[in-house]
Amino acid sequence: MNGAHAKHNVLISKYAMPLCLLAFVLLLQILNPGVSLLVPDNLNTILLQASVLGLISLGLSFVMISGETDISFAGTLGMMGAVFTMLTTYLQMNYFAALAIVILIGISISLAMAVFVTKCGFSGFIVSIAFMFIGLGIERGFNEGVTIWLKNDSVQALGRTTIGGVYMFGWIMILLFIIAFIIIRQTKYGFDLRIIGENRNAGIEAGIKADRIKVIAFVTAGLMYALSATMEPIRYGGSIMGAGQNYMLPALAACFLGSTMFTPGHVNVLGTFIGAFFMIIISNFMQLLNMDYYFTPLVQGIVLLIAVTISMWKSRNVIKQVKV
Amino acid sequence: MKKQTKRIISPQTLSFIIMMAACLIVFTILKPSYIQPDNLYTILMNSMLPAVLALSMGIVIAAGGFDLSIGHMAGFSALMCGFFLRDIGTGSRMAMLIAVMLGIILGILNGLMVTKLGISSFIVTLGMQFVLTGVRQWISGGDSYRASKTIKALTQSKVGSVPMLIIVSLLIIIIVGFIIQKTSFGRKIQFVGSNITASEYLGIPVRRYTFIAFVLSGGIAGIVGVLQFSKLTSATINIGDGWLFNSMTIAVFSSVIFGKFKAHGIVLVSILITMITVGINMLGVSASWTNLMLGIILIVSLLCGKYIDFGKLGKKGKGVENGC
Repeated sequence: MNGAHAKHNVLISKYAMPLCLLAFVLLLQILNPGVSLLVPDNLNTILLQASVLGLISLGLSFVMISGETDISFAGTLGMMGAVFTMLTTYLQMNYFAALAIVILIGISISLAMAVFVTKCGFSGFIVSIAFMFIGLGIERGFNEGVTIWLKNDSVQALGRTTIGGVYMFGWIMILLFIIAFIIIRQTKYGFDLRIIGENRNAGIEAGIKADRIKVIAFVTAGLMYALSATMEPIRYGGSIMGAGQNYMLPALAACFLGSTMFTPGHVNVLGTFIGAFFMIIISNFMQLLNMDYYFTPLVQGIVLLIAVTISMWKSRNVIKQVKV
Repeated sequence: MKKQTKRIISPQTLSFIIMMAACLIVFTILKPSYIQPDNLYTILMNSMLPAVLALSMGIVIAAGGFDLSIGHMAGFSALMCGFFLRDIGTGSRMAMLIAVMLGIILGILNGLMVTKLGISSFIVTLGMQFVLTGVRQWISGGDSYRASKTIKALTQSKVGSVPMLIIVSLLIIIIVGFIIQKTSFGRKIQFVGSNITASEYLGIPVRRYTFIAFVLSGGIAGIVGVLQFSKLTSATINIGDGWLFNSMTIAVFSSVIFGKFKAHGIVLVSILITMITVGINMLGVSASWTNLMLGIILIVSLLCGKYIDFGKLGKKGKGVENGC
């Protein structure tokens, strides 16, 4: 195999998947010329819809790049959302005061998890399940299975704020993704994080403080979950019971879908962005096309499986085990 | 594999039974009616099927995989049992057979994707869960189904004074436990799970054993689906949504305390968790505490598995592996 050919192959494995997804999206529009899917208005809506899932997936990506898995947001997101709603509705707190409290909660939860993972050597997945249950329990203790409606005009107005015609939440998501991308690709921390995720022992031998890197990854994730927990109630008008559980599978899927592109086999920030966006685009399009409800999970699941199959095709002879 | 001195009851089992007794005493003090035979009977009945599903999860975990679709597979086969019974008009026996077959087919699909396409089982089963969510809505159209008399009799009839549910469940648990723990076939599955490279060098066909583990687990999930259908007497569209976390908690909890794969451990853990759930419900406090307690139990069991086992009962060394 000559060098040019190999380079060609690398390019294909890096960029084929996002192009395929783009083609899929374009095809949906071309096949349904009557429905305006890819118009600025709808894209703006999609950006708003994707903001919560995007931020959760971004936080999850940090943890997954470090080689752990964290699904605690499935419970804690709802809990933090309930706290946020209660603070802004009952105490009429302003957004930033409530955000500060929620971030404090989010970071302390993640810090606790990180301590269990790094100091006691437990699997991040298992620890996060435990914290998910705790979050679910506390959330239900707050709202007793009833939606707490958000009643605070200044806070609710944030959800409708647009900057330059694009929703503010969309901007926040894009901005954070850019920052995260720079952190992961350009800084020493990002470099260390990727090494730890790739080969923990090699990283430690090279003098990287693996535990500290992991703790920071978890805390970053906690920050993202807290931020999205404040946006979720604003988007839906209140703290809905089990709000976080709806995001668990899409967020995982977004990260895994992202791992099929740019750096195949590894979770990466840009891929996660496209993955999260794609998940939302599918559900948005299916609704606009008046498709039955079941098409959304069906298409999302099948696309995920096909994408991963293609990106794993070269290493299909190796069984990838999951250690829990 | 570690050598174990022959004992009738291992220290872990003994300490676990003491823990269960303590739990029983605490709840009895708080609520005297807790210890009545009726209530204990309910606890036993409610703990059986989660134990069987956790067993199915345990097999996959023992084989070095993870199954996020296990609850949905069981729920799907329950729903399909009802679908074939009512909408296709097959007899009850045929419907049950088809439902179990569907579980096996889903297991085969999972297994093929893991072993032939080399995708991590985490992603495969995540995608499978999406697909099943879509397919079940597609097929049933949101209907719910009622069980026929024959199907109800499967769990609700009694032999002597022992309900069929307990007999059937225990039979499955004993057979599967025997196969996985005592036969060379089962031990090979476990060996593949604990060290796939070494197994390959020893000439164990790792692909085949991983595949069989998934098929076996799918089959058991199918059986659990039918049994749940029979026990609940109806199947709604979202049947099986909460089973994943339940079975996951039990399987992980058991593997933390009792070591890799122990059928009796899974049963005991399932009973303990049901004891706590029922106890909390009887105390009349909010059901939210159940989730909170589950989370705390999981963390405490992780800590116990790590520290108590290591310190006091440390004759065997650190036999428990809970690292990811």
